[in-house]
Amino acid sequence: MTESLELHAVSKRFPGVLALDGVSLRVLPGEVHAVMGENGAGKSTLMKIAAGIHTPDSGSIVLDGQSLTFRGPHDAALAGISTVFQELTVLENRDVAHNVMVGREPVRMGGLLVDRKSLYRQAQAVLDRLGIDLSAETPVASLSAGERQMIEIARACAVNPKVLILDEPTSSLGREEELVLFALIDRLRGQGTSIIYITHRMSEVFQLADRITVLRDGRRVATGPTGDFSKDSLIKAMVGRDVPERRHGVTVDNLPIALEAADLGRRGHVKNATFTLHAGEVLGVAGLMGAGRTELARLLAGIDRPDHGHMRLFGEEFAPSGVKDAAARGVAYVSEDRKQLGLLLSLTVADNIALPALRRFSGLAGLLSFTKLRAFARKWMEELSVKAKTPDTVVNTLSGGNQQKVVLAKWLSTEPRVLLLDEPTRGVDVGAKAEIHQRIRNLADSGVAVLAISSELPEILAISDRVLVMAQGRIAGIVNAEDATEESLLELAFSEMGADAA
Amino acid sequence: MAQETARTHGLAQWVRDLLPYAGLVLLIVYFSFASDFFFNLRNFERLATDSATLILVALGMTLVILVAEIDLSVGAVVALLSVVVAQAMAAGIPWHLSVLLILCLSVLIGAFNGVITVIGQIPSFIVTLGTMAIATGAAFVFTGSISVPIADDTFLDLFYSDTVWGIPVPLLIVIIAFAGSLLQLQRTAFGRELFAIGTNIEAARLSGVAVKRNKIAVFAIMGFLVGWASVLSASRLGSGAPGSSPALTLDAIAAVIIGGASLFGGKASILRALLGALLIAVLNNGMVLLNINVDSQYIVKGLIILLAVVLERIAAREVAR
Repeated sequence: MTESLELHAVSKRFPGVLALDGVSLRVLPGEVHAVMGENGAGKSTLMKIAAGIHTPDSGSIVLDGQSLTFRGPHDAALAGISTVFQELTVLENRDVAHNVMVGREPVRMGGLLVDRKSLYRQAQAVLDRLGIDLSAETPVASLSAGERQMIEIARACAVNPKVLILDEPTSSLGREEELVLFALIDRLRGQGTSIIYITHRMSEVFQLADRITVLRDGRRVATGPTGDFSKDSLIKAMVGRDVPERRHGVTVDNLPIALEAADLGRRGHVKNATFTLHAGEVLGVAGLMGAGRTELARLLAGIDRPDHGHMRLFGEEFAPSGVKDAAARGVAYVSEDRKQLGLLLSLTVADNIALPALRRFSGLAGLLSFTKLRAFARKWMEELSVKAKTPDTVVNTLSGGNQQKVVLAKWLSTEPRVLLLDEPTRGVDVGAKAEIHQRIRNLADSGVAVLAISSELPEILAISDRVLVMAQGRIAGIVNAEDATEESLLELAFSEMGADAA
Repeated sequence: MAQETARTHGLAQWVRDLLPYAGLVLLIVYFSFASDFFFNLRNFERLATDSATLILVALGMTLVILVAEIDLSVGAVVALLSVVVAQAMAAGIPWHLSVLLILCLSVLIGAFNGVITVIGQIPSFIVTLGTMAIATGAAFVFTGSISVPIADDTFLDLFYSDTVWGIPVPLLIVIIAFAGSLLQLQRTAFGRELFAIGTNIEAARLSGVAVKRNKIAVFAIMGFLVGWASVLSASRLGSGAPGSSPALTLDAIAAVIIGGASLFGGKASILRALLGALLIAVLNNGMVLLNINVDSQYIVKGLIILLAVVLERIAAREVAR
């Protein structure tokens, strides 16, 4: 049997990270090939290379014995590789036919007009072939999330691709809709289409996949028929790396409660979150991408409003009306996306650090004292050893690690009682990472309640006293870091909580 | 690590930084040679008083553009308010109360623009396009399309020809507004927050900056300056004319852009906006002296705005690279 798609020794480097390191992947005709791995293992990069969105630095793409180079997604589609991305891209105010045939509308009168009759006929033919029970004339606005997902797949299949890439297609689906999707995948497989299936959900892999490839840290660590794997061996393959030094957990029972959440929820993101955060502890928050970690932190920080449940802050009712309100009560949130949400890149270090506290420096007639402002900024730059010449250095000239320290300095300067850190070491070098870890430890020791979200399990284990694991918007478990292993955390992160998940 | 070099200054950035200074000097030199009437004290005096309206509006526009908004209604509102102040005085209301009335009105109009933009989450260019149409229509309806003469000599003299410590009152108002705006933008928490909002509105919000309140305040301040601009305009023309300032909005935006502001927010300077306004004022004055007709003046100004905007984009790309 010849492979229909082969990625051979593909490497891809992004600034600061080797995302893929000589990864090979063979996909046979008519098979469902699952690709698994932790966040950041390289799954998305690999798929984007197959889909023509990224160009590999080295390695080759071979389809049916022919070596190919893609200049863009369009080339990949022409070659017969279609991709359905995780984010839905349906055109909200068009009907099903226009969505399925977008970019390929049949024309008449030499391309001047869309041939509406053939458009609907062809779209309906695609739907029928895939066994999707929808009329081509239905407006998309009236469809459910699952039906929209079907439309996406129909669009990708309208060209009869040889290879179909599905990136977490069930992440927005309910149980019923999942089953319809699985039937559709079965049907495509029967028609000889190869399917690359990326998912975080263990049960789907065993239900659907013919073969599995596991990536870890940009390398392929295992490939084999699904029968060769068990849930345990899969998790081991995904994790298997050196565990850094562990800290000894403090016993949180004796620490005062800083923040408690009871039955906290926000539709579609966080469900029934009940937990306590103690002053003086570091509560790590683990979970897969999209498990609701950031969304939970945003509720605590007053950025989003919960739909239900309530919070207490040091025993008092806590329902912040916004960031300003939460910050005034001592709750600070450091965003995961420092460039988009954390920093004013084209302004100075002092502008950034002093922003939340700016109004404190207004003196006579509302005029700011720049002397005090600079001294304040300098103090916090030193405190966090931000490597910048002066407080007037423009932030986007700093390295990632120093930028992150500026964001931290900004919030630490407000002297928070509760600190919510979202991926505090993303994109920073090893040295700055160690410094930030030490800083987090010191803060907790000084009595600050720290909640730290991280996608790196070794980091979670290194800095946390307790670990809260989220899965599909729920708290899957809270464990003492001392008793936890990467395997046990990952198992919780992959746990599926009943059919009512949607 | 993505190593970002220190702010690179490419060619476009240099041209842009120099534009308000060099442009102003070049125009002054050119008109001095091209016209016999340009380079003399009397003309400069006239230039200073005539440009006061534009400078006040340009100062306000600087704040608005800094937070990535725009106000297209200013020209129409100045026309409307000059009509209102003339009618108020014609109806026997004392001049000081009439001035107070239109200052209140103008702040209200500005705040209205701000509230609709911010609370309604509607792009400000659409909101102010609406306000512009309403103001223009109202000015013509109130007057039956006829200018309302102003008879109050105190008003006419005070805001046009009177001097305090040897400085003409319009110039004095401009100096106070300029100094106030400069201090406000550079030295108050409010001003620094405006830079934060314009640079990255989400980051500002997540840092606890009251984004909505600040933006509404910016539009209200714009309104306050527009109110004073209306007073000076009415006094200079000696009447409330419904079609009095057709080019004011264009000129004010041009001044701010020539002064190096980015229409995408986060970048603007009071001093450079002043230079930009002076450049436009000199251009207007010189073209009149050279008998270039009004319609051709529009073409010249349009080209200058486009040049400034294109330079801004090229410069931004130089930095990004």
